[in-house]
Amino acid sequence: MKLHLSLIAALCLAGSAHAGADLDLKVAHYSRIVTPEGVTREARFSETMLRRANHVWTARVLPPGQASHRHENDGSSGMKKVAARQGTAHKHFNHVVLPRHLSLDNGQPRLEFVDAQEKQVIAIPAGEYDNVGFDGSWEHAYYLLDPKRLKAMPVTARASAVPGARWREREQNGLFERVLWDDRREVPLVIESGDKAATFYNRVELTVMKGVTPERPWLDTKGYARREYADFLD
Amino acid sequence: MKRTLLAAALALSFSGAAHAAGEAKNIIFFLGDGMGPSTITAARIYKVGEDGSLTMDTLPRTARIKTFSHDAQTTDSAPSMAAYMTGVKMNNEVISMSPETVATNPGRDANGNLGINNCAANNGSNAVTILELAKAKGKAVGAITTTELTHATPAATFSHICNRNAQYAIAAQLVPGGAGFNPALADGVDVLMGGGRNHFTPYAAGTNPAGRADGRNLLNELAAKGYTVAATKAEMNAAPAGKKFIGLYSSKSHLEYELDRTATPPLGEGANQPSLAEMTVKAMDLLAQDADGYFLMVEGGRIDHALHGTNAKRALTDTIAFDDAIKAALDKARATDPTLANTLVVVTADHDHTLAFNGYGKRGNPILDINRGYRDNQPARDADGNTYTTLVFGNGPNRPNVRTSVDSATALADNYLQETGVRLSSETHGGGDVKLFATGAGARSFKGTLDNTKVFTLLKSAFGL
Repeated sequence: MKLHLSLIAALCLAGSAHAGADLDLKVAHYSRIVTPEGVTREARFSETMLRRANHVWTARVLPPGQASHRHENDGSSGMKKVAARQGTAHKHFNHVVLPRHLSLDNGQPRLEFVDAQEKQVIAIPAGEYDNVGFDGSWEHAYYLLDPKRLKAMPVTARASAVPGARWREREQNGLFERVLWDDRREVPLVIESGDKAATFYNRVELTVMKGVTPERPWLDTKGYARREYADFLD
Repeated sequence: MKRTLLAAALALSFSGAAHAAGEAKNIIFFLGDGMGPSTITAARIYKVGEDGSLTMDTLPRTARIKTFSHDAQTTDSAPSMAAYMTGVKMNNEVISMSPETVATNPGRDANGNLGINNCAANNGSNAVTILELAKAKGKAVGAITTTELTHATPAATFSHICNRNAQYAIAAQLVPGGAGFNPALADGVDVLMGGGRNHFTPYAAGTNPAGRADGRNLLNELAAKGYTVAATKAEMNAAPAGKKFIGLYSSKSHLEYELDRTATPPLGEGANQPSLAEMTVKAMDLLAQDADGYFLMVEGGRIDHALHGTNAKRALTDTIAFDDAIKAALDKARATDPTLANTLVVVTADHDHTLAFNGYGKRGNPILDINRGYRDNQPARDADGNTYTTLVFGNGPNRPNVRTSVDSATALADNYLQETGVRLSSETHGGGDVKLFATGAGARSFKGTLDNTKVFTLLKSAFGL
């Protein structure tokens, strides 16, 4: 009964707008597919994520020294080496390489990308969300999963090495989903999905970093031009 | 002697008429931005099926148009529209200037916006536009669009500048007597409609962060010059005849996509925005006050934007809205000119996109759906066994690392983005020829495969210029 009550409490929290702890996270994405022709294709990428009340800041981890993406006069490092607009002849907006700032304003999500190289903030109207890979859900961005879907997944006996984290799993029609959910911090530590025949498999692994950085990078945009997604369409 | 008298009589009868035979008193030039042949075919199937016809399909004269610019196989909207309007091929991003003009990006103003025009005085010369020629001949002129009014296509009708992104300077070219005015517009363009009030109104932190850094309110200046200024469909409808008109129906950026403007509830500022057909009819009402006739440019500008986003559904619905505007214009023109003896209507596009029509789909299969084979009506599959959509793009952002099946409900959703071959952050224009349709006075000369600059020559000729 006690367990049941705590699960309800945890799931209620998961369903609220921003109930989880402030966290600095590293998010590693992995996918694998085996084609009918016997070819295995794998893809990996990572992101850093700052999760705060009413704010989610996500930035792709990029390889250092991306010469083809770097502006010639750019002496900065890491993320800033990658330009969202390359060259002067034609403008581009590559949201994948720009930090994404999602905020909650009076219950409505507001999405923008911050281009430090070009000193501009690019706002994304709701009608353009799909063009930048955002499904419009604050909760999906904040929790990296659908809390309602999580509710429907029973806790299983699969062992967890993380205190306070439990596996929830579901299997149907040869497909499976598994989530290692940290009840205390309100965050998934592992999200897996695939099929029993092992033709495809997806895994998202979250690492909770020690401490919470005080920086709020979305405030560091003073003097930046305000632009919109449509400004980059010619 | 007999021949001489007959010739003289013919000459007299021609010179005595207001317009020579086959000569157009009015020209309406419709420009579907990015509306390549595949987009037209897909829009046709979407609306009326494979064997139906859009209004543009019914126009009796057709041609194919080469669209390359002075420096590029694949053009952007600035030089391609400018080629139609001026007969001059120029570099990408240049608006109605001479061929050697170098596109120079505008600089940042104090607010971070692109408010500094960096076009040097010796960087090319103005190329005269058909709108300016019509104005000089005493005709009324207009330019209306679903994009920002200062976007490349409308800008190519009324402005001259070395870079399309200098939109604050483009706006200033419209204000008679103001700093930066284009004097070839004489007393000003008679009818202007589109979006993007921010390029006409002063910067204000918080309320108009993309406004003008020079503090000018061009709408007030235009009102002082006798313009009716409108911000909504209701204000447009109430605008009186006999006055110049500017209607800007969005505070910033473009008008909403037709799918969003007509949604329940409408997205963004869509509730107060007119359709392109409504804008077209109103523009014709206002311009027809001039007994000398008119030139009107009508742009369906967001077809291109939806294609850049690889969102075929919005591209097709905007193409249909554009076609509805053509129908509305033809109906209105024929009400007073049943055979279009005085009115030339031209419909074309400025460039193609990379939209491709894919697989051996069964006739009647919804064009936005997954492909289903014509033999068995079963989902077609790729080499890995996955379903795919009939419409795909050559390049763009939606190229999954690992491709999986697309289901029908997903493919038919409003926001579905079609998959692409080469992964790019934004889908590009295509370099293929586009279609042109024409009807009415002077339409017979639009035939064959034409360079885009030749269209200007034919428009000019139709006007008797």
